[in-house]
Amino acid sequence: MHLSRLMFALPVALAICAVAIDPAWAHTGEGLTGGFLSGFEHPITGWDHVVAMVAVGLWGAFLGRPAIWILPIVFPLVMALGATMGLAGIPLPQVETGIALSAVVLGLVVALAFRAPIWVAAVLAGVFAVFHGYAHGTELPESADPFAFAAGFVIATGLLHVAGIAFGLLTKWPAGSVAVRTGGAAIALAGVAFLTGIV
Amino acid sequence: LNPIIRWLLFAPFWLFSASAAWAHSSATGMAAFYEGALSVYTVPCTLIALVGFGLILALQKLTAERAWQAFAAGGLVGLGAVQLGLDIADPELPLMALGLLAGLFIASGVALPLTSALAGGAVLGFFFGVISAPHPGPVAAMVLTALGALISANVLLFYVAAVISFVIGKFQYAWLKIGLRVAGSWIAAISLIVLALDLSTPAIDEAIESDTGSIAEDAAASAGQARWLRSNDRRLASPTR
Repeated sequence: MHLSRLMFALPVALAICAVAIDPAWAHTGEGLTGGFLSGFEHPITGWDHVVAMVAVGLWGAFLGRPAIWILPIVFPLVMALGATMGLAGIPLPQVETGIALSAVVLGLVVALAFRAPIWVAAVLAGVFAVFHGYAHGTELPESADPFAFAAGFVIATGLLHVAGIAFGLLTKWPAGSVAVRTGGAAIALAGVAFLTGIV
Repeated sequence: LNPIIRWLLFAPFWLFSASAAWAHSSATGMAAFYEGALSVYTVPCTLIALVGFGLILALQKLTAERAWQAFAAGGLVGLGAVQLGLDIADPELPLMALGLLAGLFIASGVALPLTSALAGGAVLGFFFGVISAPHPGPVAAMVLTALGALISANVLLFYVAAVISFVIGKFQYAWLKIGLRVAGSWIAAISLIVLALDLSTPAIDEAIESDTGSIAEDAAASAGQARWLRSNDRRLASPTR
């Protein structure tokens, strides 16, 4: 291996090993840790949130640039606005319906390979982000630590988008495109199940 | 990069790996310094605003040095102003607003003009200095606490700016810059939520600041925010503001 490569690879490897060392789990469940974990778990333990976030990533990947990065930027920002509405006590009707509808609509646009203009995609994702953010915001004051809760659910949301984008990159291949569109259809069906109360 | 600097960039990982042995420092008299240094990482609004500013420094190399100088000068002015009697009721609000602005700038990919970068750095430094000003006490302890906060903040800025700058420079992948913009949107989103929460609970903060604990407890309980109150208590119990 070339010396300069070794000089780069070695500190990186050591850094990874250092981080991998067993952490001290002495303080868990309260304060920042508890708040972060409860915030992080909020989107990923609610299937209605999971499928919608993944669908945003899938659609972004399907549309390609610039949607692939604009949607994951727009969504958390507008979601934060929704959370702010929830915190301020501004009434928003039919929050759960809006969340379920987001899965139906976003799943359908992926399933139908709907190539919307970027502003339409951003507005659509943004509208649904309000409902998801509102749901997070109304639960935020109950958390162990508000900052940690907010950081947790924003990061979890972003990572779900990344998961969707990663899966959506399969659209480069014909078979992958079919798989992604099938995934979109499954998301839409799950949304219908949420909407009708089956799940 | 120089191999020494390259190794230094990864030094924090090695420090963090030695977790258990650092629980109780054997160096007496240094508690004030450590507490000042740690306050940077335990006050969320400070941490997120500094990380946002560090990312801006990394992305805007041309203005980074002068913006950093403005931050340092602002920090000293803020620390000094508090000692001269300046009393800002809630310095967390402007810090959160600055974190929000920083996140929005990073997410939008808009290059910050030099004057804005200088002004932003100075204002951030000022409010950082205000929130990091030590409570009245022995002069030596106050100086050490302030010194700890200043050094810690600048070390954090160095590592965020240097690591990100190094990674962007080393690996010319387009998705790295996109990832940073996404991270900027996360910073803005978190700042906005916490800012909204702070603005929506002024009565609780007021009660805590005036040291009427029972009123604050009642207010928080009625609003279902007892845990938020506890986090405020913990913040206020720290040696800095």
